Amino acid sequence: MADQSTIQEFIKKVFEIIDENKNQSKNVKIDLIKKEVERKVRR
Amino acid sequence: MILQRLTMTDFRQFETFNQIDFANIQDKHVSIVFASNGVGKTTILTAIVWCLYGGKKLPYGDLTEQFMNKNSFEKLHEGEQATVEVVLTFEDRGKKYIVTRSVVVAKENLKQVNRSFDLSVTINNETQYYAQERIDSVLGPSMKEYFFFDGEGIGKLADSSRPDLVQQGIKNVMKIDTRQTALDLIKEAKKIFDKESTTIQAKSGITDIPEQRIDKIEEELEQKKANLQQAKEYRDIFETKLAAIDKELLKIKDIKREAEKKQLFQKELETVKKRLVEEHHEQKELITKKAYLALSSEALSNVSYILEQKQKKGELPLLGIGKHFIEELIRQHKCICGEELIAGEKHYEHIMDVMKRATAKSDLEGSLSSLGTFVESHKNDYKDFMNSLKKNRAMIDQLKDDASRLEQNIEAILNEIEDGLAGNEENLASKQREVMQERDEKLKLIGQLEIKIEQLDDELKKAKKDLEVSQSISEEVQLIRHRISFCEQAIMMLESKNQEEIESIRKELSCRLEERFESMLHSEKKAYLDESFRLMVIGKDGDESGKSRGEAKLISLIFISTLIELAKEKETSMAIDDLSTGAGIYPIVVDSPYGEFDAVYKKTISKALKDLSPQVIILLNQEQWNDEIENVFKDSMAHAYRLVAHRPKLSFLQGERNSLYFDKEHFELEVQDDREFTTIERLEVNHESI
Repeated sequence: MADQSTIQEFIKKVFEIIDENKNQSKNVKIDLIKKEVERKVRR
Repeated sequence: MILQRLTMTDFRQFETFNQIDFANIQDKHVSIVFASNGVGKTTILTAIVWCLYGGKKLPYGDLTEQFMNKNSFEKLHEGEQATVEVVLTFEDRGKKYIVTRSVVVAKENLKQVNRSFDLSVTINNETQYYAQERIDSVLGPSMKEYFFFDGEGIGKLADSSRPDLVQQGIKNVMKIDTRQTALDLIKEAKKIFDKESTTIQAKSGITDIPEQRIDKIEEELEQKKANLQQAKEYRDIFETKLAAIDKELLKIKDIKREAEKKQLFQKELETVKKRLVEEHHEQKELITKKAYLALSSEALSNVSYILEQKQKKGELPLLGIGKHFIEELIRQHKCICGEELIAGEKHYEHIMDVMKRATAKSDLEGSLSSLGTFVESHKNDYKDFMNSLKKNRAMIDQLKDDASRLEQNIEAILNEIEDGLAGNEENLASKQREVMQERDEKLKLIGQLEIKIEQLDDELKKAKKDLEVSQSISEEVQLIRHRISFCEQAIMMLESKNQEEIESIRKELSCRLEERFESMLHSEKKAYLDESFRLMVIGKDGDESGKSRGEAKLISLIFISTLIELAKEKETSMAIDDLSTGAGIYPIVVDSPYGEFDAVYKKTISKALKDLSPQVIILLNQEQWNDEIENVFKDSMAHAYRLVAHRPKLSFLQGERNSLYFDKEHFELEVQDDREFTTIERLEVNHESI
């Protein structure tokens, strides 16, 4: 279980991704979010 | 988003270039466009919506594929084309957007053919590559329903069967949709992780649990190895048995060889016996034929002795020796024995003596001589006979010895064979076959077990490899599961936040809705937003008898206005917490809002309309306009517009009123012209006069 603040941080980052990539396709945004999850949850 | 200017070139009723500047000052935020029916009110709404969202057909009105103004089109020659263009300028969050939507219209067979549609967007004079996305990011197509209304559209939010419109409206306007978008995207990302997890497991091809498989294989391997050991022990036992049997058989072979030897001995013995018989026969014959010699010999010896004595005494002449023969010997000086006859020598004297005796001739002498010769000759025969007999006897003895020896050998061999054969060759061979069969079976089993062990070893190796892979995959899958779990937590947090916020908004909206409805209508009826997001109007006793069309429009407008109010508050206060998203400020464009309502409702709705949004654009038939409504709006209006219909035949001639009484002045809404088109005229508002 990740802590609350890490999740909040991640969600804020997702908002940023959505805002900064308004012109990108949905798949690009999903990929960026996926990478963000991978950054947050490392081996 | 605040609309600033709309320009239309050859668009529908508007020939050549026409422009409207919308009021956008904070306290002068209402723009009203007056027009008679069919002159172009809805075209203004159409132009705004088409410019923002495009489409090969126009969103409202009739003949929705005809973009070009009739007069402009008529000016085209067959095959010629021209561009119809709508430009909308607006401001959003401090940035100036210019949206240009156009269509190239060609004249083909006297009909309008739309060739190509185009869109360009500049933000602060910079051309944007993703034009439509830029617009959608300000006011998405899903939100147009809440800000651009044709006459009847206003009331549809109050339709009890469509609470989804209300809920979606709240999400969109309050920008909960951003959170919703985040939610959707995180859900999609989670799906990818789910898929990755499944794919990794599927790719490995490991469908079982390798640990269990290893245990099973090791158990089987152990069993097979024990079996192999046992089989080998049995094989060794059988090999030992076989070796013993081989030894026995070898012995039997030796005995056989002895038997062969025995045969040879027997053959030899037979030969010896045969020879013995022959020797006996020979002895018999010898004795039969020459035994007389044994008898005559003594007599002859005596005779011979007598004769010798007589002869020595010279009483006997030499018999049988010819005088001539002796004379010849003397003449040749050579004795019969080969010695040289030398006068005076022993042999000469003897010969001479014989000569003397040989000269005496008488029968007796002759007979005695013959007898002597005969005796002499028989002496030899006797000797020969005796020798032969002796030899024969020796031979017989020898043969008897040989026979005895052979018989002994044969006896010994026979004993040996008897002993040896006691082992029973057949039994041994049968036993050997049995043991060999058993041994072969064990060898076969050993072979099978060795193959099986080899297979199990391979399987074990594979299982161990699978275990390694599985462990690494397991780590990989574990990591992905953590990521999935992370997504799930984020989703839960966002959903909870959404739910929480939407419920809080609903309660706030309901509260404000109730207050505003009451203050506007002063009736006993009560309006609110229920938990299922239905806009409700109930009677004094709480009966849900339904709402009138006016009440539906009013409650819809109040809902929108309160929603926009909340959005505006949220936008200015921003970030209630870390997960809040900004709300939007949007214009509302309403086409013919009053319908067939009476004066009281019109006034009430006007009040609601005025406060609807930071920018309100009302498209109104002049017949709906009156002093009371003017008084409601005047303070909020910077200026107004009238659409003037140019037409060959004026309507008022047919008894219709086509003029507008605005700000204490009359304005014509139609002029006579040889062509039919519409122009836009600005109406200034004299605030001081009020």
